[in-house]
Amino acid sequence: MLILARKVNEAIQIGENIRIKVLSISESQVKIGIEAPNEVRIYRAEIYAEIQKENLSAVQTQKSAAVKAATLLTKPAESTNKST
Amino acid sequence: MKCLNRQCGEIEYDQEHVYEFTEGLIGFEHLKRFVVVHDPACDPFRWLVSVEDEDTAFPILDPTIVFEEYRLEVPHDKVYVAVVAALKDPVEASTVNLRSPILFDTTNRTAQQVVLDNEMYAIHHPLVQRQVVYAEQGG
Repeated sequence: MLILARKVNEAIQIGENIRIKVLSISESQVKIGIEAPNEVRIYRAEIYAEIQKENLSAVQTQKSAAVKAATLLTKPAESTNKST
Repeated sequence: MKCLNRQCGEIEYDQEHVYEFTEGLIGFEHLKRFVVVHDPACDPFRWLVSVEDEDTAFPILDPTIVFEEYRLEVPHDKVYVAVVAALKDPVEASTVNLRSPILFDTTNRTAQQVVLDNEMYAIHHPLVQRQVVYAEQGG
C-alpha cells in the first residue's frame, strides 16, 4: 500500500481524472472530497463489502426457499385484500 | 435464444429481453447480461438470471411489497425498481437489500444496481417482518 501524508486542502491525483482532497480533519473523522468521472463508481468500502456479501447470499438462494418465501408473502396479502 | 440456469432450468429468451448491466452487479461486475424470469411458483419474486453464467440468478422483488413506504426518484416513468432478496430456509432468516436497488430502464434495456445514501433503507432488511405483525394481530 502506498502511504502519503497530506494536510488539509492538499490533494492526491490518481491517474488523469481522479483527485482526492482532504477537506477537514477532526479528532475522529476526516472529510474527503473526491473528483472523478461519472463512470467511476465510488462507495464507502464497508458498504460495498456488505452489499457484495448480500448479493453473494442472494445468489445462493435455493428454489425451494424462494417458493416458501413466495407462499408466505402472498397468503397474508390475499387475506388483507379480502378484509379491505 | 436459450440458456441454462441452476435455479430456473432452461430459459428461452429473445435478444430484446436482455438487460445490459454496464457495470454489473456489486460483486458480480464480470456479468453484464441478464433476463428477468417469472416463475409463477415464486411469485411475487422474479429471477434475475445471468445469460452468461448458469450458476447466477438473483431473486428480485418489488420493494414496496416488504416496505410499503419505499420511495425512490427515478429518471423517468419507464424505469422499474426491484430489490435483491437472499431467501433462506427458514424463511424468517431471509433478507432483502433495500439499500441498493436495481433500476431497470425499459426504454434502452439497461440496468444498474445503485447504492442509496438513505440509511433508513437497510442492506439486510428482514423479509418477513410484516408477517410477524400479522401473527401478533391474529394471536
